[in-house]
Amino acid sequence: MSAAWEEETARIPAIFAIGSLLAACLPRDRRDELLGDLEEGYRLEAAEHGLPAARAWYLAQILKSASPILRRALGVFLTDLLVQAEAGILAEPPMEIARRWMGRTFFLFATGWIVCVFGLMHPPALDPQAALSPHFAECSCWNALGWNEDDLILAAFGPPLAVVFASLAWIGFSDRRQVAQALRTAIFVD
Amino acid sequence: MTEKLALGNFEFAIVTALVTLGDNAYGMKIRQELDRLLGRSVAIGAVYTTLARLEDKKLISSYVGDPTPERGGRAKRFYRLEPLGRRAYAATVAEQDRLRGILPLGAVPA
Repeated sequence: MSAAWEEETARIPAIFAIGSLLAACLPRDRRDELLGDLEEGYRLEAAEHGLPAARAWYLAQILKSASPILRRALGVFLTDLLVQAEAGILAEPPMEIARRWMGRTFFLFATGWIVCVFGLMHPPALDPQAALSPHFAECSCWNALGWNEDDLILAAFGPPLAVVFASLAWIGFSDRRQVAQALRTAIFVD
Repeated sequence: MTEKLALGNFEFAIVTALVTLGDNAYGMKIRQELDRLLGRSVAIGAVYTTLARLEDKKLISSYVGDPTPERGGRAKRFYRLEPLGRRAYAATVAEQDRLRGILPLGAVPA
């Protein structure tokens, strides 16, 4: 257990980095609450069910928490907007505030996915060919989550798609006309 | 019109967990207690969402405790039941008892 725990300790920052990324858009006290609870739960799971189960538990909790976290982030954004508007001191245009919050949320979500899929895997997973190899499929983390080969393929293609959507959202909020022009060119000219 | 105090199912479970945990009710402990009370695993995100809703309704309140090493030096947020929450709990129990009285458990057709 001690050797395994030492190895795990070296990986803890990578695992907890996912949580930090997804929770980054929460207010400070709520972020501390979530990350503290998850870290405590991780250690409890590790002691009771072993390290692979603890990793899978942490990952599952973070992914399940993503939706409420994003909803909360949206709530914080709306509060930000309403408080400024109510005080009559709208320091920046509503679209500027929307762009700041939406951009941050999409960016964090996309980054979180990338770290989720590749960050915790063995080094061969960084090679796309090896990513779908039995070595990848046998990773205890995925097995503990009950994912099959189809899920792995989806997970492998998910992050690039997330990046594409996040980029579109990011660019779209900074200059929507530019994106519309690019789409028109792509659809009608090409 | 009377004030609507009845709790939803998951709200009721969370308030029950707060009662059983007493002064030691914080996120992870509440989740563990819910696992025990409900006999199934509950996502921590769902717990936070419901706690936030109960807090908005002034049924519970929260305060930040001291940081602890097993949480990476982060503080716990403790939750406690407010008088309005106790009334809501009692109202929900009374409502459930009333419904149970109308149709006893054994009378439900298969």
